[in-house]
Amino acid sequence: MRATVLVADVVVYIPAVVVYCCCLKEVSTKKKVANALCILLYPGLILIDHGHFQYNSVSLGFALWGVLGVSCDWDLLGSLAFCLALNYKQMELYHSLPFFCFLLGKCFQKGLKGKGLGLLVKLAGTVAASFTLCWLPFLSGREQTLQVLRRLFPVDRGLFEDKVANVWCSINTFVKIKDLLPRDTQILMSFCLTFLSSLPACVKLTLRPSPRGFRLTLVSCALSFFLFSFQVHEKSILLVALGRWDKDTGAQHAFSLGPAGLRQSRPSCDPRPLLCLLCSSPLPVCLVLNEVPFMSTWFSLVSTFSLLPLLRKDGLLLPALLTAAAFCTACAAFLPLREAASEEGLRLRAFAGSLRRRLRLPGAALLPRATWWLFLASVAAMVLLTLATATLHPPQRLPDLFSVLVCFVSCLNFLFFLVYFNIIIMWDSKSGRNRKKVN
Amino acid sequence: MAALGTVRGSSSWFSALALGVTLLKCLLIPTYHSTDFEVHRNWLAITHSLPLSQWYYEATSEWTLDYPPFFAWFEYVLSHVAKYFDQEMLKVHNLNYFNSRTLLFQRFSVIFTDVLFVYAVHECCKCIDGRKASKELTEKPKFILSVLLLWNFGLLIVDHIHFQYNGFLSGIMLLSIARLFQKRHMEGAFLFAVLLHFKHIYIYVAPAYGIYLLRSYCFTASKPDGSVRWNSFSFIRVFSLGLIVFLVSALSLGPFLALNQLPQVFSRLFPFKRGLCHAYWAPNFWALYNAVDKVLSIIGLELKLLDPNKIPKASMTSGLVQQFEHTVLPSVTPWATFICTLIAISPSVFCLWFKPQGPRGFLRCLILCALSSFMFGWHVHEKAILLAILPMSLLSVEKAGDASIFLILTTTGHYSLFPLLFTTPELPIKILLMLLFTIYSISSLMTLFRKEKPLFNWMETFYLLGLGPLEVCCEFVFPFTSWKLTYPFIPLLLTSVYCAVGVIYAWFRLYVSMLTGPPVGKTKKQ
Repeated sequence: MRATVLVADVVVYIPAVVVYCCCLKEVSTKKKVANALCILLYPGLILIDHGHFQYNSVSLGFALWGVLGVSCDWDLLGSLAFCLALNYKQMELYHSLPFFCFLLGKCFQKGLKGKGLGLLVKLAGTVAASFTLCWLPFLSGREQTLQVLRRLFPVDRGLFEDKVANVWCSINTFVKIKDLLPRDTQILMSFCLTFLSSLPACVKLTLRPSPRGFRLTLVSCALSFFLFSFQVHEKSILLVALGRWDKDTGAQHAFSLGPAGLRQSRPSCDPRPLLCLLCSSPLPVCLVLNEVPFMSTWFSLVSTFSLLPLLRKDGLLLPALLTAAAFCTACAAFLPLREAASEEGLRLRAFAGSLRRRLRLPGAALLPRATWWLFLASVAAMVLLTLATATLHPPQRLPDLFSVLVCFVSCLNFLFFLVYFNIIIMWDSKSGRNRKKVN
Repeated sequence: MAALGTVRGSSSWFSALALGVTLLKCLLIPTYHSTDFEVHRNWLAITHSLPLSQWYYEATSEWTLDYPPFFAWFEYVLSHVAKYFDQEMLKVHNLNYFNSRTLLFQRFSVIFTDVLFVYAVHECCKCIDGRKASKELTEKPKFILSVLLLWNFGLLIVDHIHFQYNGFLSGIMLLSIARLFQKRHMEGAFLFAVLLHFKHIYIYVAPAYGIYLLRSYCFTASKPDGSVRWNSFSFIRVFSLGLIVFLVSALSLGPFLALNQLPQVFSRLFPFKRGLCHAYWAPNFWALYNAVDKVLSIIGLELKLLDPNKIPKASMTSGLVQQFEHTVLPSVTPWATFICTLIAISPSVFCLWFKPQGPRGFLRCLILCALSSFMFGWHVHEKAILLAILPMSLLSVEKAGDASIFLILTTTGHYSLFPLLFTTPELPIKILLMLLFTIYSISSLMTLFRKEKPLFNWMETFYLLGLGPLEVCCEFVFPFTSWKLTYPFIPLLLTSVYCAVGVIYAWFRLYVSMLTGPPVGKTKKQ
């Protein structure tokens, strides 16, 4: 079975990464190879696919083919590849909004009266055809189709389930919104926030479609979906599969850090929400490694760190540390990280410029320095929490303390990334001219 | 930007390589380990719990102490660290004791002692002539040598999967070679003496050291035509070398001499009761000899030239270590192998004496001694090929001819190590790591020597490519055929014989290159 994952990797994902890196423009061959190596060394995917055991690389590979196709103006092939990815794993819905906006933007650009309409029709046809082809065996009756949909999107669970590095779980540690608000309000709230947080980037992408904007929007939309969406998943099946129902402490999970007492809840090891992030994160890593290597490396580290409780339960702590160390070594050796932490490397020049004009702030290096300090603080927190999880036992009253802390710290980091990526999307006007390839 | 990169990267690439391979070694911690794991655990227990006088007499476990005393002291030092991991592993009667802490300790001890190997590689890189190096980092001989040594596939799988301590021992050997290159002969001699008392297999290369030190160090000058100038003999140097060897040996064997245990120690170190070949035949001359004997006996049986009753029942290929006799060809005794080895070594040693070519000539002689002993020795392990492969890496980045021989030797030598890892989970690891190393070594050396003639002729190319189908047959096709039950030894036999051809060919070519090497006057100034 392990061999099948490896074969799937070799057949779908690795060629996608290699071709993607080959198609990078204005980059030397050595840098392309270095990029490919760093992407392939991304620890999260290796650990989840080959350690925990999943087949994410197939959907990620198809999505990457989709991105490649759409960026190189092979829109039909790209959208076909993405539909395949979507039908392979519904988590790819996280990426669907940017795809839609980018392709729509392209149609608008070509003019809705002429070629644009033709393109729109062809795209709609491709999507409909691929969906029909994939779903054909299951369309035999209304009930069957509905059952499939119910399995894919079981909406009868709550806003989130246990330790997830997203906003609702983090808020819940202080304010019990899961119990305070009724189900419908929760759905509405998460929908609105998800939509609103991805709106600016998507609107900009529709109005001004560009491959670069597309890649950045993929990152920010995936992040907003992860942070704010309604977490639904089939917990019981996963628990049976994992066999890790923790009977002893099953009844004693404290959600709150305060003295609110112990609550009945389900045990902690549901990896599904974290795996949602996994589906979205290697893609942003790939896509922006070339543009903002520093942020990309930082993001990969945080996303791997957020998987810590799950990996610990799988006995993968040592491989996790080693693969993370290998990834850091590769990035430090091949990518000029220190230079990449400058204002230019972080693509913050335009934003910093407008900040200086509006707020009359002195100091040219304020932003990069602040970012660097935040990075150090984040790494320190991650290292401390990793050590604590590996060596210490949590106190009796708060058995989930470390998992909650891991999720909370990861969530803060992800919010920061969301803000950062939205900033560079919004201030990324005149994209080509200001950019200097940092080699 | 590029300048910044080179300044920053002057030694950071080496650290990155060393760190990368260390992380890989850590990832190999949970893989299969052989009985050598229990061997070393047993030695930890013996040296920790028993007094010195019992070390070479203890026989509770079948894996008795059969390395020289310095290695026993090394295990003793390790055992004092081991007690913080798990006390139970240090009890002699805990045979086959195994748990995760023991595994972690043993694996980390190998990884940690490899630091000496990394240092030795660093020193060796300094001895490489970098004159014709290009500006591109990956084409520099130093870089290629570092990768070939640090990421050596054979060392990785023998040390970090199969489990042995060859890393730091090879490190000591490479360090002593580097010291001889740097003209620090006393240190080189000292290091080699110490090495000999760690693992006595290095006696294979002792003649090279002895003759080189005598000829090039004790005789301080040569006549212009290269022959020895007898009146330049320096007694002081001989005396100091002798003193070093004597002191090291005294330190090592002294306590046992005082206890009158020397005969016992030697009987443990040199057990000749074992057979001509190890359970799996090392790809040497005797493997071909055995194969020819078997083929002849089968032909003889078919043609009714031999009487079936006279054939000894013990099959050489059954996989156990026994004493047996050949059926058609004359049987081989330990003395016969010793004499064959001596004859095989002599031309290279004479060459070193009569035509000294400096440290590089010494290195060539060392490799030839190691290979000749591998070829004709008694009860040779296939792992001994690493003794020749590692020093050969130093020669391979300097001359195209040596690069070609190195690649043949390395590829076949590494392939012959495959039967050591016979478990299924290790199959993808060994195949992919081998492919990684082989592809890198061939492509980098081809790029380095692209201005000279191609490295391989068509025959050699075919031979190397043939390793692929051989592996597919042995590991993937053969287990599903009916022969698996009747002739289970066939994959091992095929691997042995096929690799033996390659190793013998490399040995032969290396000999030719040494004997027809440039005369003394034209050698490079070191």
